[in-house]
Amino acid sequence: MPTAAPDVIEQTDTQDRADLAVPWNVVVHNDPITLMSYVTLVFRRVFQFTKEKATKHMLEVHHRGRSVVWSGGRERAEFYVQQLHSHQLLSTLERAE
Amino acid sequence: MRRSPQGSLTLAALDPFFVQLLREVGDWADPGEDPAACARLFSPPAAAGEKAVNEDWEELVRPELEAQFRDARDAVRADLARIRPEEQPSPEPLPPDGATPPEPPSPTFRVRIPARNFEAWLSALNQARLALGARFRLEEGDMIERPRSLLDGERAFRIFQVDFYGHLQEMIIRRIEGETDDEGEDASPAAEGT
Repeated sequence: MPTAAPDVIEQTDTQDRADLAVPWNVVVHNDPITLMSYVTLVFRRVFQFTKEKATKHMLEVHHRGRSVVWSGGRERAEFYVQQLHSHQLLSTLERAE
Repeated sequence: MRRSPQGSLTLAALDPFFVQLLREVGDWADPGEDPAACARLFSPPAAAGEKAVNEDWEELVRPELEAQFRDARDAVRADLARIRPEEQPSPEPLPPDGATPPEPPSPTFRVRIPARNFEAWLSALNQARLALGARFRLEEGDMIERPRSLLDGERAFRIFQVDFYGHLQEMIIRRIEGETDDEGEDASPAAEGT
């Protein structure tokens, strides 16, 4: 006998798949306390950026208030945001427009 | 600051005032129940509209972050528990009867930061700076225009404390990046804000 439960599960799965398919941005936001050198070090560690690329993104955060440091699948984006938070960087993931 | 052959950092000739600031790192880094400090150290990973992302994060990721931050604070506290006073020069001979004896030199202290704990120190110092910044609502301008005196009130004192922790972070970062730091070098002013 059919129940409502499978329908609900299917909708959730569909939603999850849609979320995973949409590209997400990892965004780092400005904060007045964190050292510039610390942010650069964290970018190099988390994303394996060169010093030049890490510095470029750090300066973008400093001057523009935010920088998109990575774009891609949601799971990977969540992983990177967790890494950034583990270094206390103010960061979020956002759906790419 | 001195770099030992083992790769550790030694902070030498520390005045008791700075030792006290160091001993406060763990306490300030711990946000406890302070809403502002908690909000900064455990900020949501997505905008409020991304309810599922934020709820999963609270349930699954935040406990991991809390444990990581606590481990870092504990490592720093363990290093600070080994702070020792430095040997003082021999006291000067007593003056002749009736003369005022010279004041004994102030004690100084030394703390060694092992290379294996550099990451923990960076984390705990950063936690402390961010928590202080959140509790005392420090802004970009506070980090550029320093207070003229530590006696300008508690907020001024905490800005100094955030600055001091920043200097230590800079020293550790330079050490990690392999730049040369010679004994007695004065740390350059910490660049603030991203």
